[in-house]
This record gives sequence, structure tokens and C-alpha cells, in this order.
Amino acid sequence: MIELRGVTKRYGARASVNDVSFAVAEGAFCALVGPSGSGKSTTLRMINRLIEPSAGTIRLGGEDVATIPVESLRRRIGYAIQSVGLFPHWTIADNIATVPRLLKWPEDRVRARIEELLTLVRLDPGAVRAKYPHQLSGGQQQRIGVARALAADPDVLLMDEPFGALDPITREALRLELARIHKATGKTILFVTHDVDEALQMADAIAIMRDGRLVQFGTPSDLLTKPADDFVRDFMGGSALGLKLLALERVADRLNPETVPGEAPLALDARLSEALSQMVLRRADRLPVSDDAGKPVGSIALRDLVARS
Amino acid sequence: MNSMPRNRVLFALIIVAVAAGALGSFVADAPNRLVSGQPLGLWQAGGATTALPLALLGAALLVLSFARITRATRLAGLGCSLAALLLWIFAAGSSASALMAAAPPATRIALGWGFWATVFCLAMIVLDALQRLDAHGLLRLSTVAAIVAAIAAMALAGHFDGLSLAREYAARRSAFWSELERHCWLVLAAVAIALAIGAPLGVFVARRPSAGPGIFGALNLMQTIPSVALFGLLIAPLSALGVGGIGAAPAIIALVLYSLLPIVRNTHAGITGVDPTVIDAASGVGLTPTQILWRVELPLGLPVFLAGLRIVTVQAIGLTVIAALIGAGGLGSFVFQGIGQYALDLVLLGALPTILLALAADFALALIAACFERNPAP
Repeated sequence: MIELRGVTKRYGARASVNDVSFAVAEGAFCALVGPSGSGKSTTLRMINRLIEPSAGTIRLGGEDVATIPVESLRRRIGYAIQSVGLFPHWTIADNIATVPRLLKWPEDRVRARIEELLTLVRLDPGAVRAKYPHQLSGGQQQRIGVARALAADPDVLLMDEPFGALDPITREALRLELARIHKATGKTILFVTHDVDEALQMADAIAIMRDGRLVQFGTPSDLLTKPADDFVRDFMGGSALGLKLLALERVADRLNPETVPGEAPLALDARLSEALSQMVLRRADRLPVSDDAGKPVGSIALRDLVARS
Repeated sequence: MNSMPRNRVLFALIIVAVAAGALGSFVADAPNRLVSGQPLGLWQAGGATTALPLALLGAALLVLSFARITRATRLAGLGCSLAALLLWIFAAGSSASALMAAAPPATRIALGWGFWATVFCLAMIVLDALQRLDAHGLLRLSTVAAIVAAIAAMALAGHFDGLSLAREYAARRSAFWSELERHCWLVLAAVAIALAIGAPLGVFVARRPSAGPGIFGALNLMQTIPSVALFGLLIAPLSALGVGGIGAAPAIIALVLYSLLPIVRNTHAGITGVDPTVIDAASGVGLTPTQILWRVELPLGLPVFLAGLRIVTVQAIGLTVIAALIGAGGLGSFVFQGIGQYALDLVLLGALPTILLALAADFALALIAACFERNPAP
């Protein structure tokens, strides 16, 4: 869906992105991670041509982006950034309607789309539609930013640390929302972050960059179990790698059908890291598991966590 | 009651107003328009019937300056100062009529410095009270409108006909209105042309920062040339071009040159002041540079731009007075005639409307700017 081949961006003699190649499959959620200045934002911004590459090609659905007129390319790609960048002099409805109106959608379709998107990002259309950005909280503004990016139903969504400026609780809530939206819409998402946990939690592919180069590209468990070098190992979590690996899987994946009695059973979709944490807290090597309805369905033991899956 | 005044602004202003009103010359009585007159105080000119209520209002304001500052005392201060201001102006008209009734027709009753000083102080008290009371601009607007309407009604009823200023006006009634109109046209033409050149230039400099130092340097240099000199300097090249070195054309050119810097600078500042992340988002979602300019940068930069327009308009109204020197006409022609004849009332006939025009333009543009500011800002 998104394919980068030999993409390079030079500023003078310095290459801030150097010969980067990777492909994001259709409908995938790919995180682009790396320390500050590693070139991840620059890479992202070359896809919608906010920055023109010095060398290499970028294809979107097989089409070379350099051949697509720049404004029509951008109207096909959703774009959300950390500072949100809502237009302060426009209402929330007008902000969301930006791209549909640029594409000259009929006004009743635009209005219907605004309702639909506000519902999708879980804001009350009646309450926020006529408000101005400064009347909303930071988290609500970022929800509007995501809604604006999705407005014209683009196949691809580019997000540049969209939740970086929010407090941890709001950030976690928005991550869950984005995961839900991704599942519901099937968009291809390329997501820049410097937060490894965010990437591990949300992405099904991770590209890790350093000094303008792509160091490794793979699934989260690939990066945790087979890091290409010490940098990747340290960046992914160093001594906590095992715990991060546990966070990738859920209790349901290692469920033991044997039920055991006990208080406060674990949920099936709880992460293995949470199960371990509970075992340590409760000083127990086996905990009961129940389904959503509270019916006991089995148990999980300490040795299940370390067993090869 | 406190031993120290609580409202020190009011206290200082009312002390000066009372002192100037009681001790300064209220009007000056001269046998003809060319000699300076005999100063008369309020007591001598108006008598006890006008002096007493004014003294009472002055005392009330003095007491209010010691009272605890609340919305009620501010409103009381506004009411008293408003009454005092209008009564004071009214008294000037009636004293002049009374003095003229018993004097030969060549006699001139001019307004004295004490009158002007008190008018100034009372107006400041009114404005200060309005500014502090005001949340929505409506009170300010209606108060200023009421003052203007009251003075206009007195003038139309012939209440000021005894004053020398009114007699200068009566002698030049038709010339006054045509020069006022001409003054307004010169200002409007100059500001319109300056906008047409300056706004695009400001956008250009915002787009091409490398052009900034050159353009701003040239415009700054222009601003340093004294206005009289610039009007004079334009005579020779314009006559060579056949446009005519005197009259409206050089005046408008000079006014435009002076107006360019504030317009270019504020357009530039308005555009470059827009949050860069908003611009990034705008181009990221696919607005063209032209759409970004019209839909994002210009609307968001509008308050700064309007501030520039306000500076330029007020400045042009004042500078147009000087343009009378090169035969452009306008209210300045009365000023320079008056200086030539040493007839101060004639100078005032040109200067007062200029000041009022500038105040009105400033007020109107501030009001427009406030309307835009009230719209949601970042």
C-alpha cells in the first residue's frame, strides 16, 4: 500500500533520511519509531510531499506519489499532527469539513459526514459542532484532529506523534480509540512516535530508525526477540524486553482449561504482563480466568507465561 | 471616607480641572479678530448661575475620588463628569452670547486656555470611567454618541453663535464643508491606494523573507523624511512628468508613501504571526498556497492588519493638513490661512475638525477591530 524505496533527503551535505526502504501492507498499522532527530517525521512528511525527497521513490497503492498533483495527493491522505493544527477561526464542524469541501462534496453529504465522524471519535455532535477549537480540551481537540484526517475517507492515515502533547490518561484513552477506529475502518496507518510502548501496544509492524537510517523493520515480537543490534535492543527496552514481550500476548493465548477457585479472576483479554503483575502482587503462581460474563473458563499459571508458544 | 484618595486618576484630574476652570481664562474678550483678548474667568463671564452647579459637580467628583471604588461609584463619577462636561461647554456658548449682546459687532469672544484645559480633564475623566466600567463596548459607544449628539444639538440651535470660532465658521460656511469633504477624499484616496499597494507587498515579503530588509529599509527611509520636505521634494519630479507638482496628486503620493510602512509591516506581521502548525496542517490536508492565504493566513492576521490600517488612517488625517501647503486643499488651508493672518480662531477652525475626524476614525476602526477580536481567537 505504502512503499518506500531508497528514499533519501539531504539538507546540504547531511542526509537526514538516508536510503530508507520499507513497505506497509494495506490495512496495516505501522509505527515509525526512533529517537529525536532520527528522521522519522521527515520520512512521514515525504509521503504526502510536505517535503520532497532528494532521491528514491514512494508509491501509494502502486502509484508514484511524485506523479500525483500535490494537493490532490494530500486530499487522498489523512494527516494528523501533535499540535493538532485546527483552524482557530473555524468551528469544529468547519474544521472537519475542510477536505470534503475542498473536494466539493454536496453540502448535505458533508453535514452527514460531520455527524458520522463526531460519533466515531465519541464526541456529542450537538454539543461540539458549533464550538471553536479553543473551547475544547486538548484531548477533544486531538479527537477532532483525527476526525478531520478521516473526513474524506482516505485509504491512508499519516500521524505524527498525534498524542505526544497529552497527559498519560487522555493518551491511553485516545490510543484505545485509535485502535478501535483502525479496526472499524481498515485504514492503512503510518504512525510516528518516540514511545516504544505506544508502538508495541498499537502497531502490527514497527520500523525503527536511527540517524536517518532504517535499522530494523518487523513485527513487534520480531523486534523484541530478534533485535538487529544493541541499539534496537536498548531502544526497545533493554532489560525489560521480556516484560514487553509478555505485554504483546493476552491471557486467552495461554489459557489452561483447568479451573481453580479464587477471588478477582483475570479477564480473557488481559495482557500476560498484567497476569504476571497480579501473580507477584497476590503471591500466587496460578490465577483464575473468567470470561466477560464472569463465568470461570480456566486458569493461567506462572509456567504458562514462560512456556514457548 | 479615607484620608487618601482611592481613585487617584480621578483625584488628579478633578484637581486640575477645578483649578484651571476657576483660575484660568474661560473666554477672552477682544475688540476685533486680530488682537488677543482680555481674559475673563468663569465667574466674570458666566456669573453665579453657571459657576455654582459646576462647582457642585466638581465637589461631588472630588468626594467620589475618596469613596470606595465600586461599579456604583464609577457610574456616579461617569454621570457627574458627563454632566459637568456638557454644562461647561454649554456655559461657554451662553457666556459668549451674553457678552456679545452688549458689545459692538466686531467684538470677538474666543475660548480661553482654562476652558480647553478643563474640557480636556473632564473628557479624560469620562473616558477613564468608560474604560474601567466597560465590558462590551456598547456603553462606550452610546456615551460617546450622546456627547456628540448633545454638542451637535447645541451647535445647530445656534447656542455657540456668539463664539469667535462660530463666527469664523459662519463667514466660511460653504468653504468649510467643501474643504472638509476634500480632506476626507484625500485621506480615503491615499489610504485606498496604500492598501492596494501595501497589502500585496506585505504578503510578498511574508512569502519571500529575503526581500524583507530591502523593502523595509526603503519604507523606513521614507518615514524619516520630514513631511514638509517630502511634499516639497515631489514638486520638481512631478512637474517634469507633467502631473503637476502642486495640488492633489503630489499630496496623495506623499500620503501613500507615508502610509506604506505601517500597512506593509502589519500585513507581514499578521501573516507571519499565524501559528506555523496551523499552516502545516492546512497544507498537509491539501489546501493550495492561495487557499491558505485567503482562508487561513489573512483571516487570522486580520486584527494586526486592522491595527495598521488604524494607524495609517489617523496619521493620514493629520498629515493631510500639511498637504494644504502645496495647494491640495483640505482643512489645512484654514490652518495656514489662520497662521498667515495671526487669526487663532481660523487655525482652530481647521485644527478642531481634523482632531475630531482623527478621533472618529480611530474610534470607528477600533470598534471594527474589536468586533473581529470578539470572534474566537486562539
